Amino acid sequence: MTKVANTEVLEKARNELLEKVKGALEMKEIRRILEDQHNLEISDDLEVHNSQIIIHNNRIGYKIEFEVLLSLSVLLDENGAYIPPDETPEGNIDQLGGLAEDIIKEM
Amino acid sequence: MGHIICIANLKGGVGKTTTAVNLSASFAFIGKKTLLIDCDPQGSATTGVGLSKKKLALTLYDALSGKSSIEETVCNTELEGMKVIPVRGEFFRAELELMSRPNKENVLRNLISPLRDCYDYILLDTPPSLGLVSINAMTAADSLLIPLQCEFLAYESLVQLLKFARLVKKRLNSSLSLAGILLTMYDMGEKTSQQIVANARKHLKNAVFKTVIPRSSQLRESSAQGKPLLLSDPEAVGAKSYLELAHEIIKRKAKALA
Repeated sequence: MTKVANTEVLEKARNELLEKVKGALEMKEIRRILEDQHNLEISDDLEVHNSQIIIHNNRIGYKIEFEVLLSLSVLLDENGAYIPPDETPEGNIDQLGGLAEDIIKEM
Repeated sequence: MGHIICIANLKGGVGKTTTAVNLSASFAFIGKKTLLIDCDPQGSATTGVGLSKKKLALTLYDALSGKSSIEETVCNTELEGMKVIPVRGEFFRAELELMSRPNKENVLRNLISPLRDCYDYILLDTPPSLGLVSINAMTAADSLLIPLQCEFLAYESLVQLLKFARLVKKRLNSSLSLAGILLTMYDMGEKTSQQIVANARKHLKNAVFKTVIPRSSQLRESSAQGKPLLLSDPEAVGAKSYLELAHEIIKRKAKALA
């Protein structure tokens, strides 16, 4: 294939463009979107992990990947079996609330 | 004599440090002489009030290891009336340091006792764990304030912490009382948040503060900026909530003494 442009120059330009895009990001809004989209609580600052130019609806777009620090939990029973979230109904919360109430009375 | 409040929860990210920093600022704002002691090796309260760990001359660890007096570790903040005893990375050695001491559960209580008469309120920000540092903080405290995040799994850690606090009260500090449970990160548009608030009020009744701290990006950002929210945006809902909490604590204390 005949080269008609310098590869290094094109790559440098692409990286500079992506850096400018990263600099233009509204991080507060992105955080809110990620938290709402995935129903989670992000514990720390967002860090850009990777970025690339993409095509979306036949137009140029950008894909920005973030590294996030999350606080997540897994439940297991006394036999070590995983308890899926839909098996922890509000009744469990009521039980825990009752336990807390009893302890507080002693304080 | 100053009232010592230990702010504790086994879970990280529930609002302990945010509460420690913003409640301290609120007390100082309404004219109470306040000291915030950062007892968490992560040092988030230290950076949360705008101190640079690299520039610190003396920290809590220096007092703990006998290199300085506790008075020498006290630093000023932007807010008149609010002082802080900071920490930095070396405080991770505190657990080991305490382990080797006789009467190891009372080290912090004895260390800060000369400061009691200098302040109206002394707040202790603790790590999210049940080690010797947390034991020392609860043993030193007059009361325990528990930030409770409005999400289901937070209740599990609450029960564990209360059991632990009950044990500390029984074995080490019979004066330890419950200042209250503070509902944090409340989102009025979220069903889970509403359920937690309703359940907490149903079971825990007066143990739960009337004040609820809303989920607030401004509170998060103010930590990153190293300022209590009261200083950067006193009109913000989060700032007003903590002021409300300070007033509520003062009222509860007055009622308890009457």
